[in-house]
Amino acid sequence: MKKIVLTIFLLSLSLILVACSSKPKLRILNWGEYINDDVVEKFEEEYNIDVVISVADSNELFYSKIKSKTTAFDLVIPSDYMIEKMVEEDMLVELNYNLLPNRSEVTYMDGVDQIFTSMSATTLERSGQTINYNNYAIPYFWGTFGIIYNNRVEGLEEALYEHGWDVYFEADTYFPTARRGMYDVPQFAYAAAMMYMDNNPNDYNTELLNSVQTVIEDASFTEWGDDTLKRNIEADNLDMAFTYTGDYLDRLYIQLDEGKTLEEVRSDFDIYIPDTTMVFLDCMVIPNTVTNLEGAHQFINFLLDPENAALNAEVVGYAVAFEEAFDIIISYLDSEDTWRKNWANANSIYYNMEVERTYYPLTTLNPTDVDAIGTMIQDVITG
Amino acid sequence: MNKEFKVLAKPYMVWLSVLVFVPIIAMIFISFSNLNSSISVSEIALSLSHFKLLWESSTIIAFRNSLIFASATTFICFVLGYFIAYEIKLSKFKNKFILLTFVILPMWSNLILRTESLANIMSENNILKSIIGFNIFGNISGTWMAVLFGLVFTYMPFMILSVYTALEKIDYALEEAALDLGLTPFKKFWKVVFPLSFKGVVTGSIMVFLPTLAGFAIPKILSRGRIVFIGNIIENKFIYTNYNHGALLAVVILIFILGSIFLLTKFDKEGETLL
Repeated sequence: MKKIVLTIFLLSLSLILVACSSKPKLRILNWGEYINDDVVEKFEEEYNIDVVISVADSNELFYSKIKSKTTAFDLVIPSDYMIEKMVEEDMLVELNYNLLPNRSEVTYMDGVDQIFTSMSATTLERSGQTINYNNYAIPYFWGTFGIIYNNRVEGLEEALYEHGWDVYFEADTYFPTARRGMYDVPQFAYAAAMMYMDNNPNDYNTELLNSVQTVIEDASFTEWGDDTLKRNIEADNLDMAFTYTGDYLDRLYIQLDEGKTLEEVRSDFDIYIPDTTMVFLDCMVIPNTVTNLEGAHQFINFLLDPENAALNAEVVGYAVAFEEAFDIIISYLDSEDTWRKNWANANSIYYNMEVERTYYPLTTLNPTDVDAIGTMIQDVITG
Repeated sequence: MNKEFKVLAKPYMVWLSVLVFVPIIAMIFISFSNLNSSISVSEIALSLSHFKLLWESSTIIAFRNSLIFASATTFICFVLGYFIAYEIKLSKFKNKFILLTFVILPMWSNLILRTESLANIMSENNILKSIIGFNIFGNISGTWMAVLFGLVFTYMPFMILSVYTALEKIDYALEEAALDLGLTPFKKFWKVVFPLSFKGVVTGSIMVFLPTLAGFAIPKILSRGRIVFIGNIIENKFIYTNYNHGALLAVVILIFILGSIFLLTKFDKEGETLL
């Protein structure tokens, strides 16, 4: 008996010792498949820090994990509206720019700056506070929303480029045969309808809610989905769907990997990005649960290096936030490597920054309004 | 010896109270109060304001959908499943275990994966069509037929297994006696076999009805987001962190579940078919 106890004791002791390596740890809370492991490895080697990544699949989960303080995360990568909420509830630590020397080396993309401005504006309107979100957040990736469409349907592409949102919401007029899908997030559907009506998607009142309800009812979508939308368009089971541009690029890269050319894929299905569209911005922020403040700054500074940012973007379908990193990607247009060439091509087409657009990041509406929108969408679906 | 068994039962009792009873009490409390993530302890108060959710048209329709689909699924599973179970019992095949294995074979693959594949082959252009050249399901993806088919397909094994268990327990001597006393085989089935296997039907029905009533994945995938069950509404409420509404609806479902179990105890006092 004593021997058994001793063995168990020794075994557990050795386990504990193995688990506690002497390296300092950096705990990151991230989305799934949203970081390039090569970047993490490079950082670990350079700074002798052990990076531990946990994954959650919604901003709301990020929020509750930080709020509950069960794990002391050092770095989180939430989206725009959640950053507003976290700042409002005092959950974030202000960044120390002295520890981020690389910040002066990069210029944010125009769209990213627009998002920061817009976030401050919505906060001012909601709570009367003037907050510069640059004090808390460094951009990680951003992206637009667009309408993926089935290019095997003749005339749909031309119609979309001519009439924009109208084709999607008034298909009965412009394209009665088109099968349309909507993203299954109430606030996205609300925002899309608001942009179609030339409104700011962050405005909310009961009157607007009622007109949005009519618009969405009239649009009679054949599908309410998420990742299923892109796959159904790819498979020719759906003709138009409002979704992330990154969703399209995700399928595009997979098909390119399977040996198709960019032209072949685009002639099957493509994405149209309206002149007024929704955007999201994911940022690195330091929650107040931080234990390794220095390491968190080192990691942010590391990703502010355009080369690392570009390397990180290789596995993620969204747009890099720094002009310098974008230029690195575009320089691959002349690359020998087919994959890099295609990637550069896709970036220059879909994240073309020359095109002037109005970008709206979604703000945090107050909970009762979010609820009212949710109920409205459920009412439309249950009809 | 008895004492040792008591000790061994403890871990599960602790597990049960920590992960089942406490959450249920919390759920009931949350549905009757204004508690949420951004409220401080001193502001907590009882509130019945969430109850107007129950009169929302989407909630009522979702409940109606859940009830209709759960009842229809149970009925179809009973009609089709009973005879499969009866056939297995009557079969001359020596190794009935193999037959039963075939019945539960679909359950060996993951539920979500199975449902996604079903959704795929139910849509207009799909992998099966490109192989065999035509659509076996037509283009029913997104309709109530797709959802009903998916539910029946998924929950049928539960019905077959519980009916089979009940049928197996029937003493063959009773059937022989019935025939000896002059009943026709059909009457024998109707007057002897069916009443004796009724407990199995009740258990099977509950095992089909409850998961269908509370489920959300199958309707969401197969209706392409267009048919909303009460489970879908609960899921959404929790995703968008409206715990009060989510908890309230979950409590209502709990009432249905308790009601069904009450029904079960009426039919099956020893609870033997559940074992």
